[in-house]
Amino acid sequence: MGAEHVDEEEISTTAGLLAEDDGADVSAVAQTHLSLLMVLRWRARAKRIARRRRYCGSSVGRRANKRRDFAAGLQAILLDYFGVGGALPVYDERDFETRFRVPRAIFRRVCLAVKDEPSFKQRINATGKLQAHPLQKMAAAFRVIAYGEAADRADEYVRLSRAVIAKSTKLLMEFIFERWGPTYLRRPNQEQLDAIMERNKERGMPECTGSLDCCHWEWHQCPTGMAGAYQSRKGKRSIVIEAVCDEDLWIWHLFVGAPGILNDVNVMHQSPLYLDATGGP
Amino acid sequence: MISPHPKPSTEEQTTFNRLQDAIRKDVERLFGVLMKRFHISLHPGRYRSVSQLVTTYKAICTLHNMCVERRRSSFLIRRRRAENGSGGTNTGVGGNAGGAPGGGDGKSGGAHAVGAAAALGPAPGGGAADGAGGVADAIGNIGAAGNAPPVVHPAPHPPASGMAANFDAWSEMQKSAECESLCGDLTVEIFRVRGDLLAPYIGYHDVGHDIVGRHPTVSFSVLGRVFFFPHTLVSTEFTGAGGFPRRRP
Repeated sequence: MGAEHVDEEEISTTAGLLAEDDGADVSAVAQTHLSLLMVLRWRARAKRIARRRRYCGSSVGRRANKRRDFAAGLQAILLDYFGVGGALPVYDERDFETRFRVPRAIFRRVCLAVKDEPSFKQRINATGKLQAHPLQKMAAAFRVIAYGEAADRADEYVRLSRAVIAKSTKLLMEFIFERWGPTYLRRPNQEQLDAIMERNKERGMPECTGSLDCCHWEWHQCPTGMAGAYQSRKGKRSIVIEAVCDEDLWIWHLFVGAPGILNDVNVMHQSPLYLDATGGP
Repeated sequence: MISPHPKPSTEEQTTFNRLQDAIRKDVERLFGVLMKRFHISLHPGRYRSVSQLVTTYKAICTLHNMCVERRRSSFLIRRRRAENGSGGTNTGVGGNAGGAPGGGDGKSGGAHAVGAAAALGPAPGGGAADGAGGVADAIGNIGAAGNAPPVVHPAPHPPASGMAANFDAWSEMQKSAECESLCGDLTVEIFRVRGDLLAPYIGYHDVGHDIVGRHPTVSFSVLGRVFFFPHTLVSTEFTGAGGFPRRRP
């Protein structure tokens, strides 16, 4: 308690200091004290803010985690579409393609590419339980894009919550576009262009490189403030998609995201294809 | 950029419109197929931002192109080969000008009547600039397979080696027990993963904590609270410094 003792002495001398009118020291100390208090308050606030996370997990006062059996969801998917223990799967190739809308080989490619991604990798939580397998997240995400259904529709089958399915759909879309977009949405090189024109010449249109069209994709959750810009001629909020494709329906050019109020010509005038072809506005 | 005659009166104009429609239907088909394939583009998008919509649509189109790439070697080209009788006029992405366009007489009959058809624009950029040069080259290799004898019966026609090496889709299709192999991969992974996942935690136990990182978390939070506890800081900082007027009752 030496500190206390010193403290007592300081207090006794403070009156003396004030009496001597040596205000500089005192004000400096007071200033330091105030700044310290500010720092403390700031730290406490920062900590409180940092603690306020969106997903709080299992903490007191929060809604409890549901007893979803992740392994059951995985088992169901494996049993239905991949077969377990050497047995044939319940659904054949045709069903597989109906449900996932892509052939099995493509599903497998995506699956093998995505399974080591940090956001898809199977994790283990603080209690040592295995979390969802990437296959579950992929199956749910493919359901969402294939059937356009709500995120929690696949909950009962793959045993994942709405938030996880929505998030994994978003991440999978981003992943697919970043990984394969440059390959599959590339522009044709001269050789391919010649081949396309050759084919179109046979069809009666020489020097034709493809057919171009725009279509609207309605945007359900358009903010009201942007409704004016995104309102299409049919009175619905939408974005415009411009595409060029060939006979095989291979997309050679894609321009997405123009506001729906623009007509097809206006969209074309701001698409990269037109700007490149004409050398800019 | 060409558009059809609004009111075709002469024979030439009617023929032109017919041929132009034949090309134009491709893109109309494309949107139809996209909407049917991925219903997310059929229903109104339920995302909050335009960028999210754009990413989703581009990813869908990427998947669509992957499907087309896989399908193309099976259906359309075979039909064309059967029609043409010799050397496939494989247009598509294959970049395969194949052999000489053998037949096609019936199709290009009206081509002479219509001289005017402008290109969409000069070759829009070199494809190699997109960083997909390797892929384009590999796909170009399919030209070797284009001159093969016509395949009328639906026996699968393997692409050239460069293409097969590029994407394993074809080789997978050839496997009889493909689903079993996929199952094998996945099950191996499932049972391997658990050990991998537990490994770092097991390594962590050597420090002396209890199982699965639970106690370290708690103690850390306790530590944090102690560290930011205000009295500690005040007493350490200012009792030693001296001259701090503490208010007393």
